Amino acid sequence: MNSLPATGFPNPSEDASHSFRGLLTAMSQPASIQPLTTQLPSVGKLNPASCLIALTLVDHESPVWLDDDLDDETVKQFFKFNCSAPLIKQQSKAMLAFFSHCPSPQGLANFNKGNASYPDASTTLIIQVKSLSSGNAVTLTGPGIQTEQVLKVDGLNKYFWAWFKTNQTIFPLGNDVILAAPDCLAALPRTTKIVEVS
Amino acid sequence: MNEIPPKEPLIETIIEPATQIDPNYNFAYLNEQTKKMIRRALLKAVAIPGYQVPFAGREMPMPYGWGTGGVQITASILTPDDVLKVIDQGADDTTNAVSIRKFFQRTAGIATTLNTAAATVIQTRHRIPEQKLQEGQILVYQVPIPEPLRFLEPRETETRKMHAFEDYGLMHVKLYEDISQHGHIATTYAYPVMVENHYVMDPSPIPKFDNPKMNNNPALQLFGAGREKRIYAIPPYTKVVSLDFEDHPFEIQAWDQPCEICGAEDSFLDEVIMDDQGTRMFVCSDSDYCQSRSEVQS
Amino acid sequence: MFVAVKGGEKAINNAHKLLAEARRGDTSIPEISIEQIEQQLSLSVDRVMSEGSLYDRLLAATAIKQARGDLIEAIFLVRASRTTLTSFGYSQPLNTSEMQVLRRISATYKDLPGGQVLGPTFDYTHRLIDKNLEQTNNFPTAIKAPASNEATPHVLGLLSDEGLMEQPPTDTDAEPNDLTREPLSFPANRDTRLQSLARGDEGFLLALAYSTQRGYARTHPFAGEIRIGKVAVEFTPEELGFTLELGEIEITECEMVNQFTGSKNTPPQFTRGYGITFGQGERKAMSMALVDRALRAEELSEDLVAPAQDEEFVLSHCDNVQATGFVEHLKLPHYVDFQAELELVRKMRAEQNVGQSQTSEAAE
Repeated sequence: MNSLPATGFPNPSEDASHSFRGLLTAMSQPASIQPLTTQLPSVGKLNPASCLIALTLVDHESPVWLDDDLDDETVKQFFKFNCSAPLIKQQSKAMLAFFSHCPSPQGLANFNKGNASYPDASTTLIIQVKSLSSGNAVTLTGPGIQTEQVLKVDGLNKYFWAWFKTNQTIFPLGNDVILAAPDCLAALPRTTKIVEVS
Repeated sequence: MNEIPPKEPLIETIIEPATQIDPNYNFAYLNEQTKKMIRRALLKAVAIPGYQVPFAGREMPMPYGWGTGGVQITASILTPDDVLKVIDQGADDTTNAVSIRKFFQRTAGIATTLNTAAATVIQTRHRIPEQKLQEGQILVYQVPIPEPLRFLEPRETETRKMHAFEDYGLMHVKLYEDISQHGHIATTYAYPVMVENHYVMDPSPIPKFDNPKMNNNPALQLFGAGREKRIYAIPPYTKVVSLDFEDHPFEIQAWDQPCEICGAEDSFLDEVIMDDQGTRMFVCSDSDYCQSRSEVQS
Repeated sequence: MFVAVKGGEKAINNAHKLLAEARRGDTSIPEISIEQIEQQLSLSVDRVMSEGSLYDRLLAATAIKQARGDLIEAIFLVRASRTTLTSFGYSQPLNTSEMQVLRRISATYKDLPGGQVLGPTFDYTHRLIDKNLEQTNNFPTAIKAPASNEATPHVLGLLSDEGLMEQPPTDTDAEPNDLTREPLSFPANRDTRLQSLARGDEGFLLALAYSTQRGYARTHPFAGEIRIGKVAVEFTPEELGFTLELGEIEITECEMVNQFTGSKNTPPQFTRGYGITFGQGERKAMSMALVDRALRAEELSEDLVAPAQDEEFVLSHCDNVQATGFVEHLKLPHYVDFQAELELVRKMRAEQNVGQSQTSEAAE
């Protein structure tokens, strides 16, 4: 028997409780920067924030899709071993999708957007970015934001915000996004509106 | 901005510290698999304010209808660092509030408090505390019937469609019929609200007195219906409007007298019958609010 | 004083002690043991296992003792305990045609392969209180036939061979829906409906089944077969890839044969209603089979006219743990909401009084 790879939570119950509260705060206060509550190493191209999200949310009942760069044995073993995740290729069936880098709008077209009766059936997109403390600034508003919130992000391509804007037009359908930087994370639920992209 | 301010020494003294967890249970009773499922549902609920997310609610060691939905949410969001307050009818010492607080002391070893400001998580049945909530706090509501349209249309297959098409005409008709028949909207609690101009939502059986507190609240509000297996949410700073009509604007309850204990004129009052001669006393339903006001005065 | 509602914690602790005392009763009378309940109140144990969705005789017996014999309370205890167990997966479908039958009757054929086996039934007892039971160690011994090796094929299978019975569903390999893992949604599949009914309250299903016999969705039922006995439970662990026998459980299975006059797409034939319980639960299994058949109305293009055919109504209300919780939650304080209602009713009455006095003034 192999011993557990050192990439799981050292204290599963307690660590998961802290990381989930971070995610819950991230989703309820869009674009707020949440620190990583447990220090985890990268696994292949999966950065520490993505690892934390996977360990917190993924289990055998949540089908996961991985982009090409993440679709290697090390990452797949991590998902299978630590999360018992069903790894799938069919984008429309994915509950969570992990991206090593920002995808093109076409690359997002086929994920589940939910349906009118069950808008919650949509795929949550976890997109790795270089930094959430430097880079282009975008001003956001919407539920969870008192007035406006400025988010600096390095690592999104130039099409992302245009895609995010179309994503809002189909509310209550749409995808929720979690931006995963190496040292922190932030969320952009489908309700968040763009005031200005600089 | 996400943290509540450091606690004053005064507040420290009113927190009952963490206790030993009963080793027979996982932290906060639920196993990690169940928590993951509820946690995923919670994130969806926050992302679609007012929409009821179905979740595979588990059988809890307390009866359906007695807060199993709220308990499952609280169990899924608690960290060992939290300070928990539990109220029923606004009071910490009502029997079911005591029972739920003890459940979490035993299974999560959690620190508890009666003080609204000192709590990081507040589980409630039928009230929103009078004291304004702060950013970083979470209010967890116990919900019996999450579907605001249920008493107009008993079928889930139909109400799902009505929400999908934002077809809320039936609700307005019902409220208007009240006005034509009684001169008032005859709904006094569980008064329907519209969240962020989209979903009509049941605020749980809080008195309509509490409805305005939901609007633009800095705290995160989470709703759990265990028997009906639904979770929904209102993020902080979200628009929550009670349904009404231009010629019959929404209004809240008012009393002719202040609280007889603390003198509050702005709180929801419980009527207590003192004898069989019709003597009545009106006191705050929010026990912490009443007590802290009385202490300041004495 | 209003403080009557305060001091909840002390009151709760004392109530728990009183409850324990009441459960024990008169201490000059010997305490009942779990084994006694398991053996001598075995039909109670069976019902608690069935509606508690957990096959564990001693746990069910303990729950019955703790619940002072209140079976719905005992079912609730078993369900709450079940929640904490880890799920390893789903067993292979039970092969009930290989059952070691303790009882097996058919109301549709006088005799059939495997024979009719009456077994331990109340059916032909005269319901006279047996004063002998006031004494202990007083019971007759039954003569037991040696175990038969004769096969007992399903009666409905015999009808199928003749082409008179609808074909059973074929996708037996599909993973079943499980409403203890997924929330119930409508329309529900038949597997979900059957799971819901198997967990459902015996009394509720009995009343619904009865209503179908009285014309509220008549289904022309015949008790094709009722069988009680032990069957093997088999499980195929994914990592091993072959099937293991985990043990035997006792079950009751009922297959109703229902007339069906056919529709545009289907020739006249017999249809099936299915019921199953843990242990010996004949009344429940029969009720379940009748309700299962009534719930197939839409599938068989029958008119939807009665409560027993209404999937949302039946499935949303058949669970006694849910039902008892919500009915009994009315005991919890509701004085905030009641106060809100009081305020409204007083206000409306005051306005009406003003209105009336104005009308009478105007009339004067």
